[in-house]
Amino acid sequence: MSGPAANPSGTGEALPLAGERDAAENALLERLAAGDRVAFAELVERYQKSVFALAYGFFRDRDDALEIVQEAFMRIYDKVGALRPEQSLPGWIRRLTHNLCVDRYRRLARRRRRECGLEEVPERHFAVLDGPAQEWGRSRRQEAIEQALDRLSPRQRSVFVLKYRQGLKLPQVAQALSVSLGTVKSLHHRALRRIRRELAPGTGGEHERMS
Amino acid sequence: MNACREFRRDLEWLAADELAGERRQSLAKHLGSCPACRRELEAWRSLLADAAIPAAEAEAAVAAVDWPAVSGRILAAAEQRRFSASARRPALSPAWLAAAAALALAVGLGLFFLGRSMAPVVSAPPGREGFASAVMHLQSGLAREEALSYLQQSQLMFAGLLQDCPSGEMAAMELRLYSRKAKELLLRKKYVEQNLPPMEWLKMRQVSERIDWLNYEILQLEEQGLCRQILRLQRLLENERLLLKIRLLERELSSKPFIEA
Repeated sequence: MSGPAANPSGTGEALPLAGERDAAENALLERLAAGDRVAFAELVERYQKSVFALAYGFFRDRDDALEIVQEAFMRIYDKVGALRPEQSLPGWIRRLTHNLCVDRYRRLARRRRRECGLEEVPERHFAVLDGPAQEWGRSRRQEAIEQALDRLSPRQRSVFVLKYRQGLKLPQVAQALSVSLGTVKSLHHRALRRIRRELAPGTGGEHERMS
Repeated sequence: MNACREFRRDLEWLAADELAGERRQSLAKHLGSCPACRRELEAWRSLLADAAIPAAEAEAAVAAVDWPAVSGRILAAAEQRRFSASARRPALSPAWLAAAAALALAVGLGLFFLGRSMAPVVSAPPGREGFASAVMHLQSGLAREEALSYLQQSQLMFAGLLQDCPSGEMAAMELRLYSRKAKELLLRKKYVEQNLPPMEWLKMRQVSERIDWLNYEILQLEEQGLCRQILRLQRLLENERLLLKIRLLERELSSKPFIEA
């Protein structure tokens, strides 16, 4: 049930959902609890790329992901002493990062509703302008998908990101979010319908009526 | 048509690879004879493929980040947090300190006289005491040597910082060199202070805290505008008089014999 998430090579050590602590992890945690700064430097070195990859999957934006990395490690620095013995360190980091992404997404969504200035347009929206001509059609579709994703509720987006950008199966998504499988299936279904409706008005509606 | 209606509910689950067992088999059978449902399945698959982030894009995003600079910023922020937390800790008032000193003195004198009155007539074998003391002195001597080497390395690195700032290709090379040395020093410091006698430990601790702080600043250096950043560090070095402090401590440690009598 708690298999490792897909983690593309070169994006740091994988952050599994859960698992037993090994001796090395315990030793590192003891040093962290004692305020050992070298241990914290080792922790940052070990997990910063994985945290970035997780956040990048959520926002598809480098700057947003980097802010999450900074915020996540400050949170880890403050709270690592409170980690319960049964919690695995990577699993805890994954959950903490995910929660930060959801909080940030909520803030961004609120801001998007209030204003729609050029400053709010993420970096990726400009990226397509520099792409080669043959990529234009595909980029535009991906861009439309990103915009549709931006309109999902935080919970729908969480399910979507964990399933399609972290490579988890739905039972694993349920475990990661601590909700029932039925809830995850329902959120998944609504997310897909909504994206499809945003992309091609009419098609999603037809299926909405059918289901 | 009714059959299609029934099967279409499952198409998104099949595209998401979340359909199993009998339903998957019967849907596969239906797809074999229904071009409309096949088209619908293809539409779902294409949508999900476009929504996923290709592994190459994720890897490129990771590769484009200057990771030493990111970890440097995180470590510097953590360090700042640690310093501000210790600054917020309330200090003991002079009255409390005087009371604590008087109490310590009273307890110390009491233990001293009690020890004298209860001392055994036959003392412990001198050989064992002498051995323990020799081991302690040896440990202090080794710790002093280690501390001296750490201070000398720090001094060399910071002296290098005070030279002219590099430019062009040299800047990238120097930056890598500085980062590596700063990391080495940060990792080494952990083993430096153990076993030093208390007064030396205290002095070493004060100086090494400042060395750490400067090393974290060095880890934050970026290639762009390196000269400007180095100038700032040079000013910090001068304001802190860190090189002078390092030299004084170095002199004090090296003036002690390796094993004190």
